[in-house]
Amino acid sequence: MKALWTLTYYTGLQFARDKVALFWTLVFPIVLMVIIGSVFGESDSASLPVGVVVQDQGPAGQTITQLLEEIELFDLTVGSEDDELAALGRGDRRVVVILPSDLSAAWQRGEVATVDVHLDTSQQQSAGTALSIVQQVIEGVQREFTQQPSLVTVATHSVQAERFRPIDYIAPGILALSVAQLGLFGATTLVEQRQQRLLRRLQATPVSRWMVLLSNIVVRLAIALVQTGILLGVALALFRIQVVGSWPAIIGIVVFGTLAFIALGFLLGALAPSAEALIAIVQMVNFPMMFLSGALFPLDFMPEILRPVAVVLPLTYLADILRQVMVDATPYATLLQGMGALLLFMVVSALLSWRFFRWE
Amino acid sequence: MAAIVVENLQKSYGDLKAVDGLSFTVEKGEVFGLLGPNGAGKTTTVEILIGLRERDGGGVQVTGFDPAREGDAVKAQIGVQLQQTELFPLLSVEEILHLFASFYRDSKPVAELLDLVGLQERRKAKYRHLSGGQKQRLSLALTLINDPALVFLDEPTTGLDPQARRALWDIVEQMRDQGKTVLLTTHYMEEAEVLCRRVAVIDHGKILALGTPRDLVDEFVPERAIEIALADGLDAGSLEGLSGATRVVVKNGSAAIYTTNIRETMASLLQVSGESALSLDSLRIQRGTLEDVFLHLTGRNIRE
Repeated sequence: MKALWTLTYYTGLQFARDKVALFWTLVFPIVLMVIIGSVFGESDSASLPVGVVVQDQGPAGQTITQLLEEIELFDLTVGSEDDELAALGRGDRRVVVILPSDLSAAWQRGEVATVDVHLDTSQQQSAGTALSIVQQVIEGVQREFTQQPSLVTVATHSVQAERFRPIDYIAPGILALSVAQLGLFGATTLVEQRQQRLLRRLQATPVSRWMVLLSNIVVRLAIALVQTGILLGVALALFRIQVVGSWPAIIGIVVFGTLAFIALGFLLGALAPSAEALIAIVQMVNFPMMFLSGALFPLDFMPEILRPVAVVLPLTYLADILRQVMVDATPYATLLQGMGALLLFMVVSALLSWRFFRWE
Repeated sequence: MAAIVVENLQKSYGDLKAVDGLSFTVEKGEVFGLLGPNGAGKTTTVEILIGLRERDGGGVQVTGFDPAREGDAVKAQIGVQLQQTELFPLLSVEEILHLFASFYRDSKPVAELLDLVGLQERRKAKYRHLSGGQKQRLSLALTLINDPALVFLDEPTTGLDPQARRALWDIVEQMRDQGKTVLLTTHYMEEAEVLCRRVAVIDHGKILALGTPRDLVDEFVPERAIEIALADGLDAGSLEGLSGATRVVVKNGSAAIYTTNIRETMASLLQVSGESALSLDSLRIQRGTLEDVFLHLTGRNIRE
């Protein structure tokens, strides 16, 4: 056990000293996320999309709508209740204001009227800003009309938008991609050490092969978790993606996915005659997989003819289940199917690599 | 009990018989050399002895264990240096020593090993920044980390400059002085002569001769060469007639008189020098070397 711990510690230390590896595993995914996120992410324009449903045919409804239109911060749409609530549900509105049909009449009678405002709680901050402006406008109009205070109740209704901004789709995809890459390159250290006859030297000591393997796997897993933390941190802080799933589930899937791709990486390592060849092989697998899987864009966007390719790529499944758990996206396959597919890749790769990996 | 017993060891790679019936015994406390050209089967033999390779046939015992069946027991008790092995490039000298120390139940203090191989000042240096000689010295320190009674060194000085080679020899001599048994392979004759108590000369997987370097030379190259300087214009012809001389080789102003009977030829030479102007000021007597032994046994030089 002392040997396993020491091996793991020094394997990790070597990784931490390898500046090139650090860049590709920790910095590059962030750069990728920031670039793709800035291109496709939420346009952080100052305007807030607000929907108004004007059921009141009287002057109050008209005045409120006019005043809301004059607010520069708002990007106002007037529409039917069904359309506007649907838009809210898609994440296309921060708030939807429904001006009831009896609004003007109630105020004329000096009665309290209720205005319903539906909020997208997935965008709490901007929805809150919109709500308070809407409230001020309505209360102002009410005072003008009735010369009395407090004849309006604003009833708020929370809606969790199923918004799919591209970044919500892409962030879990980039996480899946980074974890996959980390795993695919998982055997480079071992292959280098084999080339330098270091594995052979280790074989001449009492340390066992599985300890050498395990130390490499543990270090890769640890890096995957650090990478996940950093990526999610950036996604949350910069792009405010909405994580709906539980953290243990996300971490569990990351660990599971990393293991599956490490197994695949070891298989590639078993087939590669040298470290240089391994890197070439990994890139040959990695690049097509990046674009042919559903990691970066939905499979629906893909030409019909390429879809069967996506079905056999493990990254498709890892991205899919991560996306389901993180942002509750409509799945391509069920969680169980996705996990099953990954498990299959992991077991087959592990068996083949155990069979074919050469220690000299 | 002997440290290593090898009986009729066999190993083939396809049609090539890498090891073809080797038998030898290494006694405790001796430095034993496997001497032969590249491809003679030395490394294969060592790899079988340390449990890295399966043998096809024959018997092997290392510290009383069979490395094929009790590899872990053997590995725990020996120190090993392999050829052309690069260690962890991004770890420092002392980190690598600590790492290897963790592989064994008991280990020697790292500082002591650093002192022994003279790497105390380089202990913080990354492996990739070490010179070739320093890397080899670290690799020697690693062989001693578990304080083994038996050490295997496979071509320990290949590729080193003469100074680094001397430094390594010093370390091997210290191992010997500590009572360790050392089996080393080399294709440097001088190395075998300096370090080894006994040497097995190997070619094509077979032992051609086995004994102390002195005995091997006496047995296979019994001739001695008497070298003298020749003054200008002196006729070397008179030397041919010296009693017991087998041949005379003249080059660069000196003559080498080969003989199997040094006493007779010397007496004859003294007589001739008294009668002529022949100077004996720079006379020296050369023994044969293991190089000559190998040449005699195989008809070729070891590094061809």
